[in-house]
Amino acid sequence: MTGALIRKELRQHWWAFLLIAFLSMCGIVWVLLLTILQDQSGSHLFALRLHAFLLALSALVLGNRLVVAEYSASTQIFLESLPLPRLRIVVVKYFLGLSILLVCAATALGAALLAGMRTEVYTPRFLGILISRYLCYTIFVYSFYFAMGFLGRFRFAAYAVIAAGITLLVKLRDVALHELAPIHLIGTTFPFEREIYPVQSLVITSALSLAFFILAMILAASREGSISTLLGERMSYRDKIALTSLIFGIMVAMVVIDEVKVKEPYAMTGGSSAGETRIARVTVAPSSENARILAERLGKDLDEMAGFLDLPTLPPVFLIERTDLDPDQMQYGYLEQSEGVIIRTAYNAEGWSYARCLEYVSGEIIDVVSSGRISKEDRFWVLDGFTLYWPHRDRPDAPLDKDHHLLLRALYGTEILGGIRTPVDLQKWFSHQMKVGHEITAGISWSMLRVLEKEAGPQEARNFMRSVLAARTPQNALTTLRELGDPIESRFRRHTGLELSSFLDSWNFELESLREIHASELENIPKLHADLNFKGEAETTFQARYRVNVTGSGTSIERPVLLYGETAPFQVWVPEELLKRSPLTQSDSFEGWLPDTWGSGTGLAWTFAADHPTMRCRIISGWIHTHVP
Amino acid sequence: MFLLSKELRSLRPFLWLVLVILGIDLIGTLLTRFPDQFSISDAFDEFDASFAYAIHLVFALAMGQTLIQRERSEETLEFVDSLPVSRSQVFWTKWLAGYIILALFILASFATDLPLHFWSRSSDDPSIYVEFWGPMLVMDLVVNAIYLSLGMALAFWGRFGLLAGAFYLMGVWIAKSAGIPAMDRLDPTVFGQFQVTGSSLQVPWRILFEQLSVSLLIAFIGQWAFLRFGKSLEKPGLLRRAATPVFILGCSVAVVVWLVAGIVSQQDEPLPDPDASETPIYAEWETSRLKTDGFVFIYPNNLARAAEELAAEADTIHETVTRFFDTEPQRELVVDLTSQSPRHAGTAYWGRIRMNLQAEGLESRLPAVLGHELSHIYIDQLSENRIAENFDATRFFHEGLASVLEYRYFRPAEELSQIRRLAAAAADRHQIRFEDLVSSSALSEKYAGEWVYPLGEIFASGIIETWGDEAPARLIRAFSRSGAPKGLQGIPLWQDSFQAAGYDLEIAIAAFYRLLETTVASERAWLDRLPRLRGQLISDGKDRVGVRILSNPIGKTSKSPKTLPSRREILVRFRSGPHAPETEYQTRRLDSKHTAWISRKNFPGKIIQFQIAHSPKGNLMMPLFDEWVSTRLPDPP
Repeated sequence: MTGALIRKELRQHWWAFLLIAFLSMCGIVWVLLLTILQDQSGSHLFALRLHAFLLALSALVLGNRLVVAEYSASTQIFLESLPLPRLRIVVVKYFLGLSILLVCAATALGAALLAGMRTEVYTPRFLGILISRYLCYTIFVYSFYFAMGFLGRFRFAAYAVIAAGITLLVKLRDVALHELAPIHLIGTTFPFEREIYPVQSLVITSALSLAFFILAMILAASREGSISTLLGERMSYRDKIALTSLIFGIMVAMVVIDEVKVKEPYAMTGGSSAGETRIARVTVAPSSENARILAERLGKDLDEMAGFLDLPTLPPVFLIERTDLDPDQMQYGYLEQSEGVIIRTAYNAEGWSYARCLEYVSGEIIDVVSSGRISKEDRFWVLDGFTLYWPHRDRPDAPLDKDHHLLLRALYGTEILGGIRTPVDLQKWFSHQMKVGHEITAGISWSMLRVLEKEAGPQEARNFMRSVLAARTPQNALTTLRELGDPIESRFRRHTGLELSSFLDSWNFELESLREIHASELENIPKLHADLNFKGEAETTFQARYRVNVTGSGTSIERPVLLYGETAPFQVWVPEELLKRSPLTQSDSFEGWLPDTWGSGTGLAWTFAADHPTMRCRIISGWIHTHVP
Repeated sequence: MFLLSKELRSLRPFLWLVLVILGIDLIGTLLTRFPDQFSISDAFDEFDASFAYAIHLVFALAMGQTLIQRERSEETLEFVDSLPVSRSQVFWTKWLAGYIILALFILASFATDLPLHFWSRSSDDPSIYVEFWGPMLVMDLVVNAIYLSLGMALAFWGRFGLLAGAFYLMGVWIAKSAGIPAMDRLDPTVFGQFQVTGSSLQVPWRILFEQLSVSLLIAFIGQWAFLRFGKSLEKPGLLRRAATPVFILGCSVAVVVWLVAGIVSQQDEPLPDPDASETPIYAEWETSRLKTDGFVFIYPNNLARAAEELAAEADTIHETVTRFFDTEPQRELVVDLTSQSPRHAGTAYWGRIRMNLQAEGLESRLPAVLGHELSHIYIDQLSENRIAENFDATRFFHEGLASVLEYRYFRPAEELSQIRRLAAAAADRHQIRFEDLVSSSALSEKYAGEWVYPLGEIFASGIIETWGDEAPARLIRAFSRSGAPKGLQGIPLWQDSFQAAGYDLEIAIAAFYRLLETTVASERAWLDRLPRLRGQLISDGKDRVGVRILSNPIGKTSKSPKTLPSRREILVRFRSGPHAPETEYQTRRLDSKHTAWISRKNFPGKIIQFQIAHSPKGNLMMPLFDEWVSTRLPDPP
């Protein structure tokens, strides 16, 4: 009778078996193709990993034909009416399918071993490891799909749930997928491991195979097979939609669930830390007496800043010496927001400025504390000004002229911008930065905060700064909604008692009076002009020709340079560390060609820049963002 | 109209599904972002186009199954036939209903992202980027038609149709990975590989309309099948029973035949060395084995002498490497000397090494190659393969440390400059960021993946200079420590491993830049003698484009010489986009007019990228690579 059952299966599923044979043949052809054509993957046996994928596909088809087709068409009822134990029918199906798959696996393995004879050293142990890994994997995939077949229309849901379970396990429990038992057997070490049997993976995979076999038997035999009959009914339209929804839901959930990475918080090793601080945590590396003094000073200043702004906590700050950077260069290192702030700078170099460093550190800290909210344009002027206000803080009634270089920045910047007269002008802060550079705009807003201190009073100015810089702004839409009802202008009014527009009038008045005093000095500050033209030499590649011009001859400029770089899609700025620099000298006549070749359509941001010693900052001709024609 | 509304009604669950998916996406954004600080740039950064188009395809296939198979499973065909409409009308109404639902999916995505962008615009960038989303919208709507037509045609064969589709995609993938970029024309998922120049989306219009034509043709076949749908059931003969397996086998055989034909007919344009005159020695097929204490060497019989010379030194090399890593030697390593790979002198895989005995240039020093590859073996062993598993983030360290050992122990000291000069030239001409180095793919996109060797060597040397010889092994072991988090990538992975080893990544980065600066300073004279080359993209008016090499610059600048180097010293590499894998790069030599030509067929999209590689006189480990230049492909004649 068993023979009759086997013949029945062969007659019924001949084409499925043909397909599997074809799949296996594809695998073997692939092995040979790799052997002949590629000669790249380290071992010809590596191609068996692709074959393992085909084996899984074959097992899926086999399980489908031998189990699903029988139960969904309810033809098993005929078989059950024969004088045979129900389990024997299932066991025959199982072993028939398994035999076919094992023959495929053994054929492919044999072909690969033969193809690899020229370049492999086969030892009994190596062959034992290879064969046990491959056949164990084969038995597992077949048992899995065979058992799933008994779930009938729910097998797809089971696949989705198993896939989701594995994904969750990998993401939430921090387990590596390729280390999980069945996958590990055909993992990257499969064709190369010659010495060590992966005992644990073999045992787990075998146990899983046995478990799926037992599951299949239970489903087939329980309640005289009625469960599998019920499950085997075709899916209704609703079932299909529900299943599609489940699969899509799981896929979306996989994307949405953030990968949980259990990582120790960053701690700078080999640095000096500030000792007696209230909440500031500052480390400066590498360790030295200078580093310790700098850490203490920075820690003290940041503690005071936290007190001024009423910040309950501060992210840790890590300062690392980078001798290759210019003294005025600061670079941010990569760190997850919650882990702190890394600043790279040449703090032992001659010409390095502590105030400048504090500008960077304070700006970055406030950005981290606000979860990036402070980078919104309508309030950025407050941060811009604060980064200068804090390092140069003094008595509220001290004249603006005390920080002469900052005052000159404010006067120079407002002259070029043509004035900032209304609150609307404050909402265009980023375009002001493009025109005059962020160091000049920082000078402008520094003067605003200083005048505000005088006009509204120190405490009122402080309250306003707190409301903008130290507001609790969790990163979600609720923050945005809340702020729609409390824009910057109303916060300004509430905390200072002044209308922003009338304050701007007072500030402009004060600047104008100072402008008259410093008129001659301002005249001596040069203004930079530049233009860039693209010349298409052939088809779609271009060269860029620059021409720069300096007006105002009183004060000389230093380190003239053309700064430029390719912009990323949807960006008009290039990060400082990605900017290319083409230093200019007087002998260049400030006219020439950029060395790069530009492809048509490429985005480019550029400016002519130079240092101005009196203002202690960089002046620019204005950032231009353009596209190569 | 009645038919359309009936079909739309039946697709209501899909509509709900669309709304749920979009709702989850929108809620996710609102819960984790400031909606008024979420510009198109942020949306683009988070958008996985390949995934999105794959989902779109799956969705279309599922919809095709629903629209067609449902008539069969619910046995409603007879009712449809009783209606005063033709089956063709029914078929195309179903198509239209499916199209509308899928189009809603697309339009709703735009409707959620674009308003957020408008809200988030700032004064420095008021653009609405219509040059990006306009073509994207048009492309998506056409792709929608392609996917749905495929879905409805495949639906007649039920799950077997999907299987045939899966086979087809697998075939395309294999052909592409075998280095046939023209396969993009036949790949329906190619639209997910966005090509953006500036902020303009470069839509492969030609491919799009070719695929649209084919898919509509397939849809007409689907219509023909629908006309016969259900009728053949009355007389299920052998032909009917055999139709499905024959169809599947036919598709599968066609894919295989087409793949083999594609590979055979792939006439790679020759890369002849114009001055090469030596006749190559071909390795024999027959191989022999040679055992030493730690190795088994397999080599072609006619190259026995070279193999024996290498084997004589092998155990000493092995001891040097294991001493450096402070570890026990592995019991038996297999060294396969039959490789003829032109790209690699050696490769290492978990206890097995492959080497090319006939490698030329610097790589002909075989003991050095063996030392390098052995280092890889022990890096993998000590890290329990964890370093190799994070290949993108660790490749520079893997290759860099292996290069340190190679140049320190197995090459004469004067050869060090041949790798250091590469690093010096890279640092002198470009802004090297650690963020790029720590991502092999980013390095390849902007510069050259090969830079992992010289820059990695500097990084590993910096570690050794700072913390001593034992530092690399300690760092490597930190990767495999128990309890090490497994999902980390990129810089966090390195921060964690350095911290666990008792070191600091930032200090290592500082040492890297310090050493790089010193190297540039010491090679300054050599660097100043190097010519700056640039390329112009030209067309031959037929089917080829070329890059003409010119000496930089127009007019005067710098001290670099203005004469062009010999054309033997220059190669030009081409690729179809920044994400093209290194195996798909096409390399060409210069003709007598200093122009490297390549067929347009290698660039099925609208983008061409080229890179000049210069090998100045004197041995360097590899050529000096310039930055990639990306531009539009000139219009065909």
